[in-house]
Amino acid sequence: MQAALIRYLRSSIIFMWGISLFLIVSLVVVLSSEVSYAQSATLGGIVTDSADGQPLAGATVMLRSAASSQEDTPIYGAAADADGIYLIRNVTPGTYSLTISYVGYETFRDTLVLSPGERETRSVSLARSEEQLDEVVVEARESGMARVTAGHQRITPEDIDLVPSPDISADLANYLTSLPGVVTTGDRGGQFFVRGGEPSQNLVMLDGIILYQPFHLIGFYSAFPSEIIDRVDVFAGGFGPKYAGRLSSVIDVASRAGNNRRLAGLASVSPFAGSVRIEGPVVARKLSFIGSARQSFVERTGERLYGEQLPFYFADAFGKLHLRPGPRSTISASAIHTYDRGKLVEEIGGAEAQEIRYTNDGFGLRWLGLPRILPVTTELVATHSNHSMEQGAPGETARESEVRNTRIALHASFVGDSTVTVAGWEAVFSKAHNRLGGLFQNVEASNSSLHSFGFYAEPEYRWRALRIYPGLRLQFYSVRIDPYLEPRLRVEWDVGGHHLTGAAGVYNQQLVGLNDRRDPASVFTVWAGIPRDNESDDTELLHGRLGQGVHALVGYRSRPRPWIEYSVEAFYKRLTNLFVGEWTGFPRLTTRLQPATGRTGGFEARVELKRAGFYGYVTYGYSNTLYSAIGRQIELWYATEQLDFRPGHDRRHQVNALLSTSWRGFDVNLRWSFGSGLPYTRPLAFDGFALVDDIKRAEDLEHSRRVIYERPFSAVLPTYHRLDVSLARTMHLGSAHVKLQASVINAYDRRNLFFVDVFTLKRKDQLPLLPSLGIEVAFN
Amino acid sequence: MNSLRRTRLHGIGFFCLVAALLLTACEENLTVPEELEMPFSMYGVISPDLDTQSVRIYPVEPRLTLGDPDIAGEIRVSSTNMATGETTVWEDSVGIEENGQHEYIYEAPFRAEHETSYQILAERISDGARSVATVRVPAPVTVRMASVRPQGIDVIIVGDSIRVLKPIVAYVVRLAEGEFPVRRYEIPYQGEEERVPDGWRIEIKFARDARKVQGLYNAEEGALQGSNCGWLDLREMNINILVGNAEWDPPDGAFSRDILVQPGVLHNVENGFGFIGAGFRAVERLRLPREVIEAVCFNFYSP
Repeated sequence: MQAALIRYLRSSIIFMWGISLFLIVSLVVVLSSEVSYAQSATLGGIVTDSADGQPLAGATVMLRSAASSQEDTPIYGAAADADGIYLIRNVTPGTYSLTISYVGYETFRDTLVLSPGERETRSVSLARSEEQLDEVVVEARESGMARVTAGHQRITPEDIDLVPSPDISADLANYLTSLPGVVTTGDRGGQFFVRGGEPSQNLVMLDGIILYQPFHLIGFYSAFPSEIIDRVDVFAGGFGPKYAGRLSSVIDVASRAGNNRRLAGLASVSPFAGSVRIEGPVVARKLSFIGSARQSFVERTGERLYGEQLPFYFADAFGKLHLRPGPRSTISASAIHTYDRGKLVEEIGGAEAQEIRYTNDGFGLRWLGLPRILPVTTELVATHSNHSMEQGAPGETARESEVRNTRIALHASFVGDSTVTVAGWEAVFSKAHNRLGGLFQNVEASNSSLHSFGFYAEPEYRWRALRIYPGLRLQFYSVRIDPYLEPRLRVEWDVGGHHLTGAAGVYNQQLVGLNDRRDPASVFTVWAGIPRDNESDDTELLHGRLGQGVHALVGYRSRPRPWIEYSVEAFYKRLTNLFVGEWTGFPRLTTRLQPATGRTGGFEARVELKRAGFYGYVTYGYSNTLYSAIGRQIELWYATEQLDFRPGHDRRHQVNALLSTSWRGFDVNLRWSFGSGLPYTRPLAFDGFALVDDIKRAEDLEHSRRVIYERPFSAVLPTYHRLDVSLARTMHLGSAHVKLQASVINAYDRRNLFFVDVFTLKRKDQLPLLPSLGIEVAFN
Repeated sequence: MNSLRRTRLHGIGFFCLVAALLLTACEENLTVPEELEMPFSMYGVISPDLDTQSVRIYPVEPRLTLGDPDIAGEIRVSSTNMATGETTVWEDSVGIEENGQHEYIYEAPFRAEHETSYQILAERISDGARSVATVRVPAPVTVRMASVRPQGIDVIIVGDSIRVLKPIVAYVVRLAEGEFPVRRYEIPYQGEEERVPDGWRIEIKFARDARKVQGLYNAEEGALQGSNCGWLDLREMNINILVGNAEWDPPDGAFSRDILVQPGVLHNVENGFGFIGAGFRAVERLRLPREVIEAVCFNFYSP
């Protein structure tokens, strides 16, 4: 108790010291730049779509001297960021003509007179151009499958809508599975492995709200239907210092604001699920709302329509209020709820089948603005989320895990003449609670408090076509007093249509997500902290040491013609101080940790074609992941100091192809995916174990059932491939439209294996051929 | 043919080509491992300390089940005294655990003899498949003190083909004056046993134990300890050991279920899995010289 108090006090002192240091440095930086440029002016604002108030990311803002005869008069320019915010600093006082333009929109023109020290605001709503240049718009899109920059890919709702799905409502999960670096265990389970990392090593956020299991049990769905998404930033590795606390990847989802001009809505239904969305102004042009809800039907329709029980149910709801109190800021409040229930594993003997149930609840506030007193763009986020998961027979809970967190973060972008330095801080307060029990399960309970505080800065340096972003994050984790320095680096080099990129970084994670990886169908995740220094058990080797990842990647991208783009990217991740669930013959989940290291390497190649009326891509991913487990028992069991094995998500080859076109007024989408077999551990037989540890009668010996395995992950499952097709037609009826969609999942009825039940040795297949019809009605 | 149509055709063609190429080497079926032919796993202890010998039997099954009461009748368990050739068929009993799991225990009412080997046989009646374990019950051991010093007492357990396990040193103490209860404290010495030519050696850290015992007694009975020695009688001291056969040798002498659960670790069943130990408990009273007892601040007790 006393030790915990001392540790807490020391952490608090370090935290306060860190915050003070950051504020002092920030003020010095800001004030010194202000002194230097006190005589110059600043122009900033927010660029939005006049039709619905959505931000226009990438809109071009140009300031040109009104006296055009003065050729040496400087021209200033900026591009609006993802939230539509732009800022131009150090403008020489004078009279300027301002133009704000965006492809497919009418250009805004105005004349400005800027005085010394003035901070002018011009927030503009651009009207859509009457003359729609489809081809130009398509080719000008800044997202797309091949548009990868040092592990970073931006995904838009338009990208997501192209991937065929059994439901008319498109979903981010379905798109993520088409990325060459993302491996899933199948079309159910909701587990995503990014470039060799574990699901618990992915940082998933919605509007800054950390979500722990945002993917539904049916693999086509997540908590993110495309209709609520503004953009998704996926960092498959090498992410910058803005993000921390996870070893593998970042999936940062930004929801869109509701239409602040008029009421709009949508409803859709298919045999898989139904959804509704409504949005509109509360106060026109000032305050808008958007609400979305979905519910699955497949639990009820599965057997009747497809002759197969699909015991999965999910529901999710999302709501957001978006306020523009003035031309220099926006405030939004988001809330999300998800619920999943399903059975993945068949019953054992006469026992009732185990059910998995989980929820995510989150709430967040986000303020974006251009403060009048400082020449920066700022983002302040305060969020809270809670995730709980249960497993047991229906109506019973044999084991449960819960994790909750409160997160406060401030991000600031310091705009220079041609560069932007980002800096900020983040505090995350997390608590985890677990209680394990059930058939063959020893009862264990644990509670962990896991807090972290971090400060970061990432300046930008330019030299000709070279851009370098060296970043540094100073991170404090409650598990240990000493601060962690996490250097990050991103490099981009554009020359003659060739785009070379690279990234590297060091990452730490103190929250461990434990799954029973012996069983690929296992979704149940125990969230816990790493062992502390003062605990004594077999994992003392790693006490107080955080899991650490080191990433390095290099990529090349080119767009030789406006309609074709291709990219290749090679990556390497080294993972140390990993905690994996201890290998055991007991047929149960264990929270005993076993030290391990890992490394993953590979490359991805993508080719993308985009024309008006035609879109397609082919991606290939090669990945090679190896874990090494160490420990006393490894030596005893396998006569080797460390056990090298391919983890269950080590899919070596993965191919995805998508084709989207129009034919006789129908939108036709085809997607074909292929994956080489995943490693798994073959159970050989089942018996029991008794601990013969004293002179006792046999009935008094401690005992349990046991699984006799082959060497871990030494077998490989069959390859996987599937073709999905969708055909859709949209009919416009005034301001409303009706969309009809027919789709077929697994069109040639491939018998793809989902997993082998380690308890019954039965194979469980993924979804067979599934035709579906859906209808969507929307108005705006 | 316009460029859009050409692009579309190229795209469809490429799509089909990639799909066709990759469809060629795609096996749908799973390679099934060969079924293990070992019929049973057996666990138990054969001991002269027990008047009824018993073993726990698990059929090695192709899938995990909660069991069946009829299985017990399908198994015949017997033991053979290898010295006399006498064979005893063991009785089955089926229990059901809280989670619904059936357990199969077999027992026979006899007391095992020292220096005797027993063969325990589990046979599947339907096809005659057998798992067998042969164990030898060690001879009684002698315990002697090799050196007696306040800092450490060397105890030697003399015996052939034995494994000394789970040693415990017990101290029986009582306050030298007044009406206070007699208390017994057990100090475990697991993992501190050491093999020597004529048996096993354990070094009892007498001074360390004395401080610990005095501290425990003091904590339980209140602040009785003065600054002087001799306030606590050492009424009795003995060593309690599990004497097993030589094969009863877990890694590091420790019984960790998480390590021993792996098949092949602590294993002596032929054509099967599991472990059957043979052994007994030995308790030896240690009589120490007065000066050694008093050197660690115990009071020498003489009844």
